[in-house]
Amino acid sequence: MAINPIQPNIEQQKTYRDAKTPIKTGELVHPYPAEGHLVHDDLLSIPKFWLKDIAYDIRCVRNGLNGTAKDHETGRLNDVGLKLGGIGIATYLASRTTNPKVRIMEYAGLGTFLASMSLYPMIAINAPSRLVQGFDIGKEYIDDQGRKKSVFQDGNYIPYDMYRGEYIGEDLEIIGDRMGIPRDIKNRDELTKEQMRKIAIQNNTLWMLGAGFATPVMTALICCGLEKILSPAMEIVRNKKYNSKISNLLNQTREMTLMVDEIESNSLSQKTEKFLTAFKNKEISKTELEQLVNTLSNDVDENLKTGIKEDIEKIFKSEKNGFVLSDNFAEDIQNIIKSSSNGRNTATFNEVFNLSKEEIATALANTHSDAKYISEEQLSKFKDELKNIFKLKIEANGGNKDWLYTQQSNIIENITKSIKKTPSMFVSENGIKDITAFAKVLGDFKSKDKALDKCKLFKVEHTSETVLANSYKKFEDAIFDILDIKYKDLKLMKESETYTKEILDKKIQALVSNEEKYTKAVKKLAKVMADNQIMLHGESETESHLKNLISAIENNYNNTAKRINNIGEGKFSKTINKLIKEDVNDELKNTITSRQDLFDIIDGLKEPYKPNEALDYGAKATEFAKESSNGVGSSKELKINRIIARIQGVENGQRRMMHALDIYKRQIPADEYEKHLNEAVKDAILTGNSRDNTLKLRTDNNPRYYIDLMRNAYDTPLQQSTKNAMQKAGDIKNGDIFTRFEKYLKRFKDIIGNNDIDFTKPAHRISGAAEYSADSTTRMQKFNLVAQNPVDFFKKASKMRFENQKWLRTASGIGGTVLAATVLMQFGFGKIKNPQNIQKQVSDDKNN
Amino acid sequence: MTKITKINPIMFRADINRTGETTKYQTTPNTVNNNKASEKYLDNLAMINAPAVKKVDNKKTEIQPYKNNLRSMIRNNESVMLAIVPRIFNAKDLNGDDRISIKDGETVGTFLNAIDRLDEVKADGFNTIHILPIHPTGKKNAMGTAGSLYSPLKFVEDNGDLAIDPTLIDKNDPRTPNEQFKAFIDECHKRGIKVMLDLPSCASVELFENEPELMAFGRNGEDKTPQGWEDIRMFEPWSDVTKRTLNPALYEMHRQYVDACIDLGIDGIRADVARAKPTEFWDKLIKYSHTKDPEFGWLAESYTYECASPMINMPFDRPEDLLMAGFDDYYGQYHIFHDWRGAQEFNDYIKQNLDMSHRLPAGKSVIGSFLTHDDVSSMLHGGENFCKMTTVLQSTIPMCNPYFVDGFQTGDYYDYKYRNTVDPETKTDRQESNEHRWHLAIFKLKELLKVV
Repeated sequence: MAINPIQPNIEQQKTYRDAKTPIKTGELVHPYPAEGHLVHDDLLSIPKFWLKDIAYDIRCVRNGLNGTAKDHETGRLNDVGLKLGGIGIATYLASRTTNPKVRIMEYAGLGTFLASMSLYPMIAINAPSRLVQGFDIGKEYIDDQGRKKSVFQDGNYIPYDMYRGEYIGEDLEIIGDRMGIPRDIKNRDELTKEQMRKIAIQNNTLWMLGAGFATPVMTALICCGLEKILSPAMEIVRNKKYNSKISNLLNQTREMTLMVDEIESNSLSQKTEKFLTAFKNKEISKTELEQLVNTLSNDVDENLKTGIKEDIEKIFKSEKNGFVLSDNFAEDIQNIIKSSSNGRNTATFNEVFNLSKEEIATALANTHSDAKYISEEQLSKFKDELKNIFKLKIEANGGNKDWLYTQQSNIIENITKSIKKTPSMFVSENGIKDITAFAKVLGDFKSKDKALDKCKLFKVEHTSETVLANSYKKFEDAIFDILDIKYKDLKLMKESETYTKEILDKKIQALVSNEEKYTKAVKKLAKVMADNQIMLHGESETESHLKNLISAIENNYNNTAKRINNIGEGKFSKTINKLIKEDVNDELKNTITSRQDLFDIIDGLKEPYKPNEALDYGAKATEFAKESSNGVGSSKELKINRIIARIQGVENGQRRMMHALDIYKRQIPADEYEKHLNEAVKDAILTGNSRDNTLKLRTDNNPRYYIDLMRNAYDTPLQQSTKNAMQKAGDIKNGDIFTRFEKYLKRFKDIIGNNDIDFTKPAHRISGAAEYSADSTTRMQKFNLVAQNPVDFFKKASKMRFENQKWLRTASGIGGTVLAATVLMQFGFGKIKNPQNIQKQVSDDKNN
Repeated sequence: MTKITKINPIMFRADINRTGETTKYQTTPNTVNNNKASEKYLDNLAMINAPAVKKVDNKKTEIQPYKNNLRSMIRNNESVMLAIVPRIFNAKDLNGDDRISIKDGETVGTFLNAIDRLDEVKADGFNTIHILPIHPTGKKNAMGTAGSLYSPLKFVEDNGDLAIDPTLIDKNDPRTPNEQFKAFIDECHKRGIKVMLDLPSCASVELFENEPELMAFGRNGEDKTPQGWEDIRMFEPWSDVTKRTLNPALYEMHRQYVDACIDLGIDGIRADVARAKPTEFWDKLIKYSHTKDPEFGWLAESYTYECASPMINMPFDRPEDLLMAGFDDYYGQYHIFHDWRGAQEFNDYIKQNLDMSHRLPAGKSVIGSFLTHDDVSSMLHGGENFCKMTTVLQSTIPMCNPYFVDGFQTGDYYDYKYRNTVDPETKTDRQESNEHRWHLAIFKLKELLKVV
């Protein structure tokens, strides 16, 4: 029973294959626009998207850990892991160094690497592709669920319908035109999309192949440039910070209370008190004493440590001022006596010298010793008691009395040695109180000293990124630039000193031959020197940050010495002596009172000590000896001298270079002898070093020749252009470059260039005047004065610069080649396979 | 098996008068008397040839009024669907090897023997049957030894009839394939069950070779195979995609297909991989179908919005576009329900559909696609309890027409003993019995678990 019969459709007599006319769709429902959209970031919106991306990353991590992450979120975790891992590695590497620039560069390197992974394809692939092919390979889109993805990351998943033609590079018709696809071809958009996909895959492949080279090279090149920006910026910021710290520390050290009770207890004093309390009213062993001393003298120099050790020992020893007797004293004495026998005449020996315990006890009792301790005096009495006992026995014995008395001496000596092996080191309550107070003072001293050390490190120490090291580097950069030393010059200069001297000679000659260039060069160098002075000292006319630093160090040492002295006069005298080596009861002033004062000390021009004329010669000599030795060898002096010495070495090196330029600037004299002297001086200035005892170069023991050489070098006035250029560099506020340069030349001549004086002698006269210089004349001082010679300076610097430039050239070469190849490849991408098919189709369509 | 909640009985509308039409087997009242003599002659002839011929009862066929209202049912979320594969729907595996062996006397499913199970279907509470494709299958590059249901050799015959797989035809019945199919459809209608036929999205390799004007080609003449489906080829819906003009031959074939379906009394079409054809194509075709039958229902196999297609040679999926083009409901994402981590995701998805419905004409819906023929058996996700849960869910959530696959009722795991074995009775160029494990068999003949 049919429900409805089959209805044959009479209309359908012809087959569907006969339908030929394309069906228009103008009136029909069309697809909706895509729900997502292409990303159109500009520079202003990048930070916003960057923050959004970070927020999304956090969400991905959270969902991943909760086990609810979707596949896109899981995929994103890879990026998050890369970033977090990178930060972890950078943090670890940063913790392995104390150089602040290196620490920052670890993170900068990471950031640059991650940025390069985006930047390189943008520059090398996306931009050229956009220009050549007409669309951006690196385009991103936001999908229907708000997730950001790359349009062409997956060649099989490209949201073409987001290309709505609303922005440039998003119109398929125009992209097709750029690809050279005929407009009248059927399904043109399909071909355009196919080509876009193909080009995208080709470019992605190119990126994958090139990423291994390109990203590290780009990272390295960017970091190189970044360092040049970072270094000066960091220096300025850090300098400000440390200058402020120095000011604070100066105030703190000035206001240090001298009353020990007013000092707050610190971890060192608490530790010390706890340690000693355990030994209260007991003896302390050598090991434990060592432990205590190590705790107290941790982070101080060896010089001071010896002082501390002696003082602590003295305190403990002074309580009982004697020696500890063991509980088995009598037995020990018996054993000593037994062991003193040499094996001969044993019977006689035993008969005479063996003492009973009661005899020994009686002898000890007679000295009024308390049987636990025995003082030096009591020991002496004890020895006498024993001698009396032995004497009676010797006299009573019929043996060889000489031999017996010899044995007696031997025994007494052994007993004395044995008793003296255990000096009493008693920890009394007073001792604990004194040492705890000492620890309190020391703890405070160390904490301030540590803070000052950090400031000192930043300003002048022998590591990179200090003010002084940077000043050296800046001067080096300036002089290399001025002399126009090229890569090929560096290659030769790093090889040998001969090459270096030769090239240097040529370059300086070329510089001085042009007046304008020379003036500019000297001005530039002087400015660099002036800037360095400002970094070190600041810009005041009277004050100086470095002076404040030195004053703060002095205050710390001086006030600490006074504080220690206030614990008890004479109790810690060794420590005080090691600290300051001055009379703590005198008024301990700061040695440097002004900026000029500091300059004079740095330049070795400190006013010599003027003795009191009212005194007679002997008193004067005594006073001079005292003044000469005041502070010499103390921890304070060592610390401050190091600062001065470091600065001298660098500044004098710079002055030497300036001097060299000036000498080359001189007119070549007509006189043959003067000409020869000029050449010899050039040679000396360029290559002489402090190993040459008195810079007596090839003088053949000819003092007259030597004097003429030194006169030519240091007595000849500076060239006018040098003077003019340097004078502009500045007044005392700016480091007083020119005046100090002149003083340097004079001092050099006075100390080195004077045949009356041998630099190595401890006290020498200056320029014939009967005055006594306060400078100590050590090898280091001489080295700092003579400083590094220009040839050595250039040779060492050339090696480093050559390696840097070589690396830079190699990296740039690789980077440039990869970049060029990558850009050129664009022109080979997107070739249409079988283009004749397209033309044929166009012709067929026309014919049809 | 828990019975599906019964839906209220359907109210049929008034019959439409049909005049002047003739069928092979129906005579009009005006010609009855004139044909008495010829009838007698024919009766005698039939009597002589009795062993060879079955006498057909030529009594006047009673025409019962029937009105399709599948579209309204879908709109009202009243349609409770059961997907069946006719060639295995009532197949008989006598020796329990899961394979249907004709030479061993086992029987495949046909339209006529399928009628035997319709009472069971009715009793289970279904009111709509989704018939998976019924067309002859391609043999070249075939998946499975029976050929894939979605690799059709032909869609329509030259005379406009639906092309039907001979496997589905009872050779002992004299009726034509279309008539046998019609008989099945009528029996469904008698029981108040609607019939929705599956329209394959692609062509078999033979169809591709025989009818190139329908097919898609690459720029250099290469075929377009949907990624992963090597036995089928893509149709070309466009004449020019840039100008957005449709391929007339393809459209015409589909129009004839729709005509054939409506003529047979089919109530609706389930469009396989609806995204394979553009919005314009469906708009035109569906509008056309409604001029013939305003209640002709359309179900789109479409899942979720895609920015781009992850499958080579296949366009992206855009359910909302398809619903706007005229589809009444679509598959949705309930088939990944077992992957959702909590009620929140489920809730969010329902809300997403409700929000979408506000942008569309009223009455659009999703099917309860917790299990389709492309998914593994629900039993694997949680056994009977899971099956019960999804049954209750799709019976109660808004905007949802419940949907089930044959075998779900009996807890079939769709596991086949014959996997990876050689099939001596292969009908394709493949020897090895291939089937997606835990999935409904669409490549091979097998018997499903039945109610005992």
